[in-house]
Order: sequence, then C-alpha cells, then structure tokens
Amino acid sequence: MNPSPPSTCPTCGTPRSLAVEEGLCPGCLLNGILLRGEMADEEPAEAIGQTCGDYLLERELGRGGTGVVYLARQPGMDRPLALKMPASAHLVGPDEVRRFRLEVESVVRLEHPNIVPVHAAGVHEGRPYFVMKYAAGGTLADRLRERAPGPWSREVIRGDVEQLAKVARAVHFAHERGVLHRDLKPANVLLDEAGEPMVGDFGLARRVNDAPGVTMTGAALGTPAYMSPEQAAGTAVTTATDVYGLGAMLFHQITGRPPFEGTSPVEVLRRVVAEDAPIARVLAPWVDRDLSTVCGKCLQRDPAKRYRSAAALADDLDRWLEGGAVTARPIGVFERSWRWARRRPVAAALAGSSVVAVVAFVVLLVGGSLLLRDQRNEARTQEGIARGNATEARLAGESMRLNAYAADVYLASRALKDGHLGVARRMLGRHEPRAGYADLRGFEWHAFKRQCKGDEARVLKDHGAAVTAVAFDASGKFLASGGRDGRVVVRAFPTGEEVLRLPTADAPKDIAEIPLMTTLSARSPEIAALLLRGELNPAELRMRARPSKLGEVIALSWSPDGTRLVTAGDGSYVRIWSMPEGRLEGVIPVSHVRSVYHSADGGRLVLVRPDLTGARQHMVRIYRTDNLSLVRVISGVEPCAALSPDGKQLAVIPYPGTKIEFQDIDDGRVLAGWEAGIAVGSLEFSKDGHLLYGRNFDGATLAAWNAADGRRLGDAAAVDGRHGVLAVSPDGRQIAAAGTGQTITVLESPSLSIRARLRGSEDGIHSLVFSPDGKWLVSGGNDHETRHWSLESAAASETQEDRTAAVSPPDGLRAAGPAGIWVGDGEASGSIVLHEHEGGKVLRRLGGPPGAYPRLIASPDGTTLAAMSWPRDLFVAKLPDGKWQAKWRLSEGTVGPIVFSGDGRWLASGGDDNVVTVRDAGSGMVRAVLRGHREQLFALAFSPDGRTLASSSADRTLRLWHLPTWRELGTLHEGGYFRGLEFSINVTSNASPIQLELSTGSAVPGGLNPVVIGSVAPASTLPTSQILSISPPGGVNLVASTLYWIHLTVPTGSGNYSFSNNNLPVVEPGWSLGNTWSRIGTSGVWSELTSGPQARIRMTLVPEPGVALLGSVGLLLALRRRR
Amino acid sequence: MPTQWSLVLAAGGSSADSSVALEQLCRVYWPAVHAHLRRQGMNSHQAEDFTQEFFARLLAGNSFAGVSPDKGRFRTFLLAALKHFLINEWKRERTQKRGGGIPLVALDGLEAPARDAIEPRHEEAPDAAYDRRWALTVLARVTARMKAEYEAAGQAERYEGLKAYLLDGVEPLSYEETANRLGLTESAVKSAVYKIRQRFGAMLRAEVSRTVGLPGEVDDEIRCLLEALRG
Repeated sequence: MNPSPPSTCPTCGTPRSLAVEEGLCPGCLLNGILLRGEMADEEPAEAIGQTCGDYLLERELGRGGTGVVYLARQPGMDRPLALKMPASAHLVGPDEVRRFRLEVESVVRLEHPNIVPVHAAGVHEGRPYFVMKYAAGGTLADRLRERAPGPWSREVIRGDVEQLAKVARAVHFAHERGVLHRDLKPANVLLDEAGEPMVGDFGLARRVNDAPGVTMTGAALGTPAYMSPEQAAGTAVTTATDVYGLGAMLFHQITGRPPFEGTSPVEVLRRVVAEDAPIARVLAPWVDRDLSTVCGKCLQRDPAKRYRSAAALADDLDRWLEGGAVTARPIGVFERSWRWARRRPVAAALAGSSVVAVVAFVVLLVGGSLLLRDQRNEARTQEGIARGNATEARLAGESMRLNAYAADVYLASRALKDGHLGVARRMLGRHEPRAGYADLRGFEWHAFKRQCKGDEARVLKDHGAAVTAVAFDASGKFLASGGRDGRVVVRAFPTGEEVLRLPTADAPKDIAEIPLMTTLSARSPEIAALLLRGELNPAELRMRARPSKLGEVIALSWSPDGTRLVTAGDGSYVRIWSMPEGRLEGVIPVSHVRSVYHSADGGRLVLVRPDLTGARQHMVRIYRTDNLSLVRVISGVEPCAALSPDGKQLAVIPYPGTKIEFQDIDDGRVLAGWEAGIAVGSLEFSKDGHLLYGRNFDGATLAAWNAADGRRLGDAAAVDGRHGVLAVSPDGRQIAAAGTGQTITVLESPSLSIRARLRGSEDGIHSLVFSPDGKWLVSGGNDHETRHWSLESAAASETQEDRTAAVSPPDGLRAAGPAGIWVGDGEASGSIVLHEHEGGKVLRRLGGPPGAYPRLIASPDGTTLAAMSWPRDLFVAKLPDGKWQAKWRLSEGTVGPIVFSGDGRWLASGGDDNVVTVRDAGSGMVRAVLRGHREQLFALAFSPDGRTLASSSADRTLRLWHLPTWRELGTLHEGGYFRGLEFSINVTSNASPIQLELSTGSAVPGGLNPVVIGSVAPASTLPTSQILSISPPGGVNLVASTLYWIHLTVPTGSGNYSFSNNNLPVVEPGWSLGNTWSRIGTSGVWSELTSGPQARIRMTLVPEPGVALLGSVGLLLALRRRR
Repeated sequence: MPTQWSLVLAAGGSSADSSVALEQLCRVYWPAVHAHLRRQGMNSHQAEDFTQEFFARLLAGNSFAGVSPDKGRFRTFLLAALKHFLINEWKRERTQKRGGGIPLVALDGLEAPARDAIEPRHEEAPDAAYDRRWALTVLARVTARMKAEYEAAGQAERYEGLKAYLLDGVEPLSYEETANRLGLTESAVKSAVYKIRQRFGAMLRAEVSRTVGLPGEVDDEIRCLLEALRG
C-alpha cells in the first residue's frame, strides 16, 4: 500500500510528507505522548520543595479538572495547609485565570464551619493560588470505599445522615450567598481529624446570579454518577441541582452505591437523563422508609419536585434523626399509576376496569401503620377485588388522602414558620373541599389558613416577571414599577388606578415583545422540561433569547419635579420619558445599569453599572440632565453607591475594599472617608443627609453611621434575606430592609431596633420604597408582584411578650364528667364522691384506687374514671360499676397532662420524656407515640370533632397532631408556655361571646384565663384587620395571642381612653367610647390603654362561628404597666 | 470527564450547549471525511458537497440506521455513519437535489490552500485515508493551539527551540545547546521542557478524550492514530 515512500522518519517510520509542521514528525509526537504517559506522577522537582508566596510545597495531594493541590506549610507555623493552583504547570490561559478567580472569589466569601476555609489567596509568578485548611481525615469518598458492605446498623446510618445534614446546611449557606457548587460528590466532601465534614472544591462553583460563562459550556463538567438530569442534558442549573447532588451522596452513603452506575461514563450519563433514580429501599432493604423517601425526593427528575432548598432537606434529615415525621412523602398511588399509565398507555387502557382494585391493593400495602396487618389486608383486599367490592378501595383511597392532608398541613405550618406564605397557601389550597370528596379540613386547616394572610394592603400583578424597581414621584401621587419583563407601569397612589404603561419596544424588532425571555426561560421549569424532552429546539430559544436583553428594567428614577421618569436596566439604553404623557424623550447608550439617581436639583443623573459586564467592579457615570452629556466617570468602585439628599456628594467604596469615600459630585474631590468595617452590599443616605446606612452582602449586619465623622451609631443583626435592598423613610425615622428572604424588616432609626416584620411576599424582594408621606411602603419582588404595605397598621406589630407568672393549677382531685363532679381524697383505697354539677349534692360514692393519687380524670363520655399515681401509673375504673380494673404505665418519665378524647375512645398523656402517648381508652393499648416536642409536655386537648390533638410543652411550642394518621400537623404557636389547653365547645355562629373583665393595676382574677389561640371560621364573616393603637404612651399593654377577633369596650364616661379606630357603634348600654375589631396577629395583639388606676376595661373575645382553642397562660391576658 | 458526544447524538440535539459541542467536533474533523470521499473517487468539489450534507444531516439529528452511538469512539462512529450515508445516497441516485432545506455546516479551514494541504495521497485506501487524516487533524489542531499559546505569551522563539523535545523519547539536542540558543540556564531549559511536554500531553489527551467514550480509551486511541500514520 505504501511501497516506497520518498523518505520516512528514521525513528518511527512515518512518511516525512505528513509532518504537522516543520520538524515535527506526527508519529514521533504521538510516540512521545505514549512513552511519557500521563505526567502527573512525574511531578517536577521544581514545584515540590519550592515556595509559593509564603508557603513551602511539601507534596502533591491531588489533581482535579481545575487545579492541583499541594500539601503546604508556612515556615514557622506548625499547621499543614492545602495550596491549590491551576492544573497546568505552564502557560496559564486567560480562561484558566478567569475560572480560578471565580473559584477564589466564590470560596473566600463563604465562611462556614462546614465549608473548607480559605486562609489566603495570591499570585505567584503569574500563577494564581489559594491556601485553605488541610483536611487530615481524607474525603467522604475514601470513607465510603473503606467501609464494609451493608447492611449497616441504624447507628451507622444515623451518623451518615447527621453528616449529610451538615453538608446540606453548608451548601444552603453557599446558596444564600449566590454560590452554586454544581459538583457535589463524596470526593468533594473533606473530613477533618474529628470526621467533621467540610464541603470543598468550589472549582465548578458559579455565582448563581452571574451570566452563563466560563463553566456553562457543555455538560461535560461535573461527575456523571452524581450529576443531575438537567446538568447531564446541559440545561439550566439551579440550587435544585445541588439538592440533587446532596441526595445522590445520601443515596451512596445509605445504600453503598451511587444512584446510577454503568459500564462507561457515557452510559451513566444516558441513564441519568433517561431513567428515574432507583428507590434506595429497594436496593438496600435496611434503609428506613422515611429516609428512602427523603432520598427519592432529592433525586426527582423534575427540579421543581425536589426540596425547595438544601435547608429544607437538612430540616427533614433532622426530623428523621429526631424520629419525627419527614415532610417528604412517598409517591402517591395515583401519581404512581399515572406514571405507569403514561409509560404504557395501552396496558393502562386495558387495565382500566381493575384500576380501582389495584389502587386499593397498593394503598393498603403502603398505608401508614398497616405493615403489621398487611397479610390479612392482602387476603381481604383480594377477596374484595374478587367480589368487585369498591368499599375497600374507597377506604384505602381515604387513608391516602388523610396522609396527604396531614403532610400538606404540616408543610404549610413549616412554610408559615419560615415566612413562605406562597407555599403555605398552595399546600392548604390542595384541600379546599371538592365535590365528591369528604372535607378533611379540621381546626388546624382553618387556623393555618388565617396565618396565611399577608400583612400587605394591596397586591398588584402588573408584571410577567420579577418586579425589580419601584419608585414614587416627589408628590407621592404616582408610583412606577419596572420588571424583568421590560414593562414599566405607572399607577396613581394610593388609589391604585393605572395611569400609564410605557411601550416596551422602540421598534417591533425589540424582543421585549417576545415571551421567551432569557431570565424567564432560565428559571422556568416548564421550559427546562421542554428542552429535556426535546420538545423545544434550543436554537429557537437562543435566537429569541439573545435580543431580549434589550428589555429588562432594573432601575427607575423620577426627576424631582416629576416631569420625567428614567428607566434603565439590561437594555442597550437608559431611556428618559416625559411624564405623565409617557413619550420617549431621550436615550443614553449605556447598558447593564444597576441603579439610577437624580440629584436633588434634578440637574444630574447618576448611573451605576459594572466596569465590564458581569464584573464586580463597578463605575459611576454622571450625566447632565439637560443635554445628556457625560460629566464624569468614577471607575473601580463597589456596586453600591449613594447620592446625598442635597445632591452634592456621592458615597462610593473603591473596589475592592470597605472604605467609604464621599466625593464631590462635580469635581470628584474626596471630601471625607472612613472605614466601614463591613463588606457593604447596599448604601443609603438618611433624608437629611446626616446618616448613612449600609448593609453587608449577606444581610447579617445593618449599620448606621454618622455621615460627618463615620461614627457607627447603630447595628442590627440578622435582617431576613441576603443581597438586600434598603429604603429610608422620608422623615428618616424608619428604614426598611429586605432581600432574598420573604420578609420586610422595618427598623427604627438610628437605633436600628426592629419595629415590624411584614409578611406576605412569596419570593425574594428586589425593590423597596417609602411613599413620600411615609405612610406606605411599596415592594417589588421575584414573585412578579408589587405590594403596598400600610405602615400605620404595622406600627405595633412587634412587641415584647411577658409571660412569666404561673397559673394556679386546677384542683387535681376534682374531675368533671357528664354525670357530675368527682372529688377524690387522693388516698390509697380511700373514697371518691360524685357531686351534682350545680348545688353539690352527693350522688354517689366509690372506693378509691389501690394506690395514692394526686390527680383524678373523668372521660367526657362518662364511661371511665382514672386516677394518676405518681410518677407514671394510671388506675382505671370503668363506669358505672366503678371497679378499679387496670393499672397502665403511661410514660417513661413523670407523667404530665392526661386527657380523654370527647368520645372516650382515646386517652392521651404526655410527660417529661417529651412525647405524647395515645392509647385506646378501652384496652390501654398504645396506638401512637407522637414525637416532636423537645421538652416536657404541659397540656393536651382533643378537638371536639376528634380529628385533632393539641399539645403544649416547655419547649414553648403549641403543636397540632392529626388523629386519623397520627402525623404532626405543625406548630400553631411558638414562644409561649401554655399551662392549660382547651377547645371551647358549642361555639357556633350564635354563641355568646367570651367576656373577660380586667382591671388595670390589679392582678388577674384566679382560675383559667382563656386566650383564644386559633379558631375555625370563614375569614369573610368579620371586618378586615385593624390593629389597635391606643395612645398616649404610659398606658398598659394588653397581650393576647394569635388569631382572634378582639373587641374592646370601656365604661362610658371613663374619659381617659382614646382609640385610634373608634368609628364603630357602641354595642352595649353603659359601655362606650372606643371599640374596634382587631385581628390578632401571630406575634400577638397589644393594645395600649391609658387610664387611671383601677379603671375597668371589658375585653370581649367574640368567637367566630366554629371551634376555638383556648390556652391558659399565666399572664397572657394580663394587663401590665408599661415602663 | 469524557465527551458526551454519543449522548448528544442520542438526544437528537435537544440541548443547546451539547449540540454546539457536537457541531464543533464536526467542524474540526471534517478533513478525515473529506479524505475518505476523495479516495472513493470523488473530485474535490463533490467531496465537499457530500461532506457538508453528511454533517448537516448528522447534526439535524438524523440517525443512521444500524449505527449505534452507544459505545466507542467518535472516529469509528463517524466513519460508520458516513458509509451508511453514502449507501443511502447511492440508493437515492440523486433523485433529489442535495442540500435542499438543510442548513450547511461551516467547516473550519475550507480556504483553497488549506484544502490543497489535505489532499490524500493517491495510493491510500479510503478507510486508511480517513484515519490518517484524522490523526493529522488531531495533531495539527493541538500543535497550532500550542504554538498560539506560546506566541500569545511572547515566547514564539522558545516554542521553536523546544518543540523538538516533544518528539519520541530520544533527546534531540543537548540541554546545554538549547540553553545557549534560548539564552536560558540549563535547569531552566529542563524545567521548560518538562512544562512543554506536560502541556502538550495534556492538550492532546484532552482533544482525544473528546472523541472517545471512556478515559481509559485515550491511550488506545492514540495508538490507533499512530498505526494509521505509519500506514
């Protein structure tokens, strides 16, 4: 074939004519590669033993896709360190430097005990490096490899779960700071000497908010066995991707293998994309059902079905560790059969007739506590199928629905606790009554539903995407909002009438008109799913998405005279519109603008934008407003800047750093400057210009400085949410802060004490502004909504609750039953007497139980009498014969509350073992042990409908439990010691109000002081919320608890009372003056009453139709003098 | 991490990033296809047309019956797919004008001088021509990038002085000589040689790994390429 080439290479015989370039024989080149092999182990002497910066390199620890890690030591220091630099020992390309910088930047910001800390970073001979803690314990991957094969004991699995929960919290911490890991796998979890896990190698980390860049090309990054389907398919990567990675690690830990395996990485990838993850419990039978479900929830192919955050996963793992119910639920039977039917449509159609039977069968197998009985059930079910008896199937369906109900209510309560109202609303909404289905809602559903109401006065849905900017004109009559959808809407305020919509396009070509936006598509699970399924051509998305950058509005500013509105954002231009006509008056060709300000005289326009697109380093550009000419540019500053109210000074922070500088806006002279002491993420002047407020990136610190000398005046900790926005009220007495958390915090200035927290947003908040009259706050958020918050009503929504005094306990030896009141003497074999309810006539006498007892309990249905013997025994007598039949042991510790259900079926007890034990009141068999409280139980109460059990504990929580499924329904109230709990019965639409007469300056009369903690009723039956504010100060605080309508009246002629809302008619003769309705918020209602000593106040708690839960708590309803 | 080229193909180009990656591979390795077609007896223009259409169909997600992308290497897959494509084309007997409605793929280096440089030798069998051109394309691409890196760092001279060290184990020049020529110390030359070898090895392996299914196949693929060169 190649008989006599003119000349061949003497070394390898390759034809000379094929030389790649002069002098380079291709054969010899390839041979050289093969001969030398991979050179990793032939590390040149030059690196080892050399110094890099201050560090001496001792040996190579490992090599990854992005870098090489050395064991290093700082001379004079004893501790070993790990030093990482780019993998290529040679020329470092700009791509590598960029990637490395990203990594350093993202890791340095993450200070967390479970994230590998970075000690130093630098550049040595043109090569960037950073120094981090050396993890002496190796990696999690090493541990997993060394482990003997399963099954493992529960203790081992618990250890794994504890470890993973820590990792999940660390990952969540990073997410909150905008950093995705993207390559979570056991090899990236390092362990210190104590085995404490630390997440490392943020080599693939990309700041969540960055434009797709360095690491976004192709799916070839990451490790296939732990890679999420969306990553494997190369589509949008979000925090859900890391949740998947955490789940994949958990899967490996508890089953001994990753979720997907294959003969080649390609095959693994294909399976990741095409197949559902296996069920942990199927592969590893030793894995507990709940844990397997948790794993499955992380590994859902649809990112929207996974845990909504890594923290939620950690919470569920913690719950599992504590033995509580996890929020994740196994795939429902309906979903399972639906999935099956979708895969095999023909088979499903054929099987149609027997589907109900199949469902019944499966449900009986998976249903809650049915495991023990499954044999019997199976036989019975099959019998049922044979007879075509649908009753069985319906019952099974009911059990599934009950479980789903309990889990959803629990999730709603968790979401409420976290302030995630949207989630809570959705969860509860699933159980609105539907035709053909039983209404499963109990007391708890209504109680939580009430808590779902946000604090906002109005919600506007003007935008199809996140609302990024809101701005009032100087008069406060117009409010403009701008969004990522490119829309700008101007409404009259406070009427809310739409005045104007700015055109979203200069020309039809402007892609803002096209619905497929970059940001939207990146975030939309629907689009991700379409791409994954191949139903949407990415080329089309690219084509449409590219020009859409023209559209997003990020910042708005009104000129001080209100005649112009400036809009700016990711579009190519900053646009200036005449108001109120909405005519485009001018454009400034500047894109990617983050913020816009007008100077006080309206003569200058200040824009802040990145120096280079996507960079952290920003510039400030100052323009004249009359001719749009550029006055000055300040480059190299941090993204935050603030313009003083007089428009003469600009506060900036030179990049990188934390030093605040005041520059003259016209000539750029530095007028003053001082060290901020925090890494400032946003800055704002007070309206008088005397104060400067700053908030650090993670939202943990809010600081106020004296603008003249930099003296720090106040500090507030832990404002909800990161990457925040700040707004200062016109009178300078309040500031509002919000961010990725969903709560807006209103603080007083300059003390920065928290005045109110406003709940209602369903996602993070991008923009905040006070109305010029200071009465309103307006927010724009990621939930696409603009919300108006009335500050007058929120004024009193934070208060200190004083709940220290104890209630005198009811006499333990008296027990009320339907027949009368039993009174015992407490003696062993003493006597117990039944008295008439009214009048006290003795009806009957019984012999006492065979042991001494401090407490007597009668079941409400009159069938059982019980006596508690310290510390944990219960003597039980059946009525009417009254013989002491049994002695039950109630608890592991000392027993606290003991209560019968209304129908006498259940007996619940709680003790200092922190659990509630529910047993069959007839047989004494334990039916459920409810775990969740962290301290001893104080009180228990069954709801009248027998569906709900309420418990309170020394852990200051009041929890609800679902009797049909024995699942926890959530925490109804937190922060109070409830010594007594009672569901009020007979509270219906025409029931009489509960009245309490209290006197100022005197102790509360003894006995039970009921406080209504929750109630069942449609919310529409009473006027909307108005919170009382009674002035002047110096009065008393009235503290109540959640969710009720409170009606206050005071005696006619007392004269000393003034109510802020006294426009309601007087209800009773002899009682007049102010009276009002108020909804009691979660954190309590407090009304300040001013009066002389011993004035009488009548507080009427008007129950809404339904059932109320009454809790008695020391001084919960006490009036206390305000200091 | 190996390429996911076969995955991309299986997915029918449903993901933006990965279909771009596949397109890149095709743009780079078209000379091998071209060489094969030339040796099938087509003239240069015909071969170009066919190459274009072949890639266009491949990238549009047309699978070629019987060619499974499940395993193995991109080189062998592409050749098998090409053969199927040709058979189908022959069957179709050009009843239909080629290229109708299918967007063309831009191929790197299709200018006249580049085209001349890749003309296969007359005596080669089509498959051998394909493999040989493939091997040369890999090497040309990596050396060109390497050279560009050095040039970008202002070290074109150093590259020229060091590139001979990339060849088979034999040291072509004494370090001392090279040191004198480049004005470096001898130990600096040693270090520089180490660096250039390492960089070249890493780049070549990275390039080859884009076309194989398993990392372990890289060396094997290099061996195959070497065989192809020797003919």
